Amino acid sequence: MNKTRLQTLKKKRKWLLMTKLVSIFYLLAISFIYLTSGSATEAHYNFVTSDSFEFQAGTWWDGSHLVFLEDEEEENVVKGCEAVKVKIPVQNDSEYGMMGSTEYEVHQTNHKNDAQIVTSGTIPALDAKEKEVITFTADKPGNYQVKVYQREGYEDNYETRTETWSKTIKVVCEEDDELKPDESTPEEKGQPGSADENQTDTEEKESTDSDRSSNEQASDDTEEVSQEEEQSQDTDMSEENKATEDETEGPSETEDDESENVEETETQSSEEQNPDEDEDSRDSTK
Amino acid sequence: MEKRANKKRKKPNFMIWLNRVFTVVFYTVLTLALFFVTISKASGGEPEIFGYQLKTVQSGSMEQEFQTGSIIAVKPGGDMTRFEKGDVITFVAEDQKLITHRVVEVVESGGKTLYRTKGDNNNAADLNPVRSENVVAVYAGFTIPYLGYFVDFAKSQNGAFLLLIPGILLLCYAGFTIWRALSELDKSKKRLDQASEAPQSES
Repeated sequence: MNKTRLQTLKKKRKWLLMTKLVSIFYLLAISFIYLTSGSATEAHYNFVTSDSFEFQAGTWWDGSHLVFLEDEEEENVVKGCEAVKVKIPVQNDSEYGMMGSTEYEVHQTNHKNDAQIVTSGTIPALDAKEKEVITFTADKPGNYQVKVYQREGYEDNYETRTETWSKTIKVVCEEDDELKPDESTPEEKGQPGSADENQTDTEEKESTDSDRSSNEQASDDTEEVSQEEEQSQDTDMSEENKATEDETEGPSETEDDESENVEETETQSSEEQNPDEDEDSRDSTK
Repeated sequence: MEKRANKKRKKPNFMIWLNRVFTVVFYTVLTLALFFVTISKASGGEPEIFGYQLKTVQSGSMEQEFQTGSIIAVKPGGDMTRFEKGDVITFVAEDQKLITHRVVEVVESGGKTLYRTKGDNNNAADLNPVRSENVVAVYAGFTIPYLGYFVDFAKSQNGAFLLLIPGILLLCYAGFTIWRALSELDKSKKRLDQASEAPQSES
């Protein structure tokens, strides 16, 4: 009995010892977990590695591709005798946004193919598929074209800036529209006006109504310069023209042909009298 | 006989002493734990021990000063513009992480103090200088290696599960001893019964 009691006592002690040990372990563990916990507890250590390498700095193509949103088939004709606002939509037709702005220029081309910059501006950086409308005021009738510079390095061309031109935009007077059929038959253009006008019309088939008005102005100017006698002659001639035209005015234009031919010869004779005047008028149409 | 008895007594004496030591340790740890927990809960904020915070080290950028997986003590508070070149400071980085690095340069700019910092084990200084407002503590020079690994492990799910094992074993052991004690009691009872029954049958 004594032995068994001793054994149980020993076991009890062992058990107590184990319990205490485990309890201390738990206490310490929980204490440390608690002490190292918190809102932003763990100290984090970063490791910075630096390396040196070379790369060529400069500009590179951002992948943008600017296009004019215009109908291929349809002609761009804007009617208006006074200053007209022309709007040309442009789109960045690519999957990439532009990394910067680019420039555009509006050119006016006349019949001698001399391009003249009317205005220029910048297109802001457009996102992929974003559109922008270029607006400019066309104060003179004529042919206009917009030139857009693609971004630097467009399609890996770093030497020069790639240009994209819009279709020609024709700005015409509305009155001119009515007279358009006359262009094919220049003889019929004998509208009431000075004799010089007729001449210029026959020379330049593509002259517009604005040209005509400028001709009139030019002829007016020359009239002021030229002698009064010539002026009176000139005006007489034009009055005669008017009179004949009034007489021959009828429903069909073909009937007027003969009488108009007569008029032309008469006007030509009057031009011979003052050649300077004629030259002036030609200059003004250029 | 007496000598034998003494020898026999010595063993239990050692066990008794060990038991006592464990008891003292247990109560000390328990008291301290309760004390610190109560104090830090009452004061609010992060848990502190004698004004120091304990941090586990996650990476080796400051190795040799303190190792990865160790626990370090840092002292928070005070004038954050007081640090000089050579001090090891704990600061909040841009991504709200705490970083402990050594000050390599103190920059005074526009009435503000900026610290250029570098990990001892890094070959370059940190990219961004640290503003004094972002400094939270200074390294106190006290570190316990490897304890951080244990704490981090204990915090994880698997760790927490493994931590339960000693407790479960203890319970099992307790159950086992109780069962054995009960079975021994049964045995002795049966013996007594048998002893009492035997003379009756004889008669």
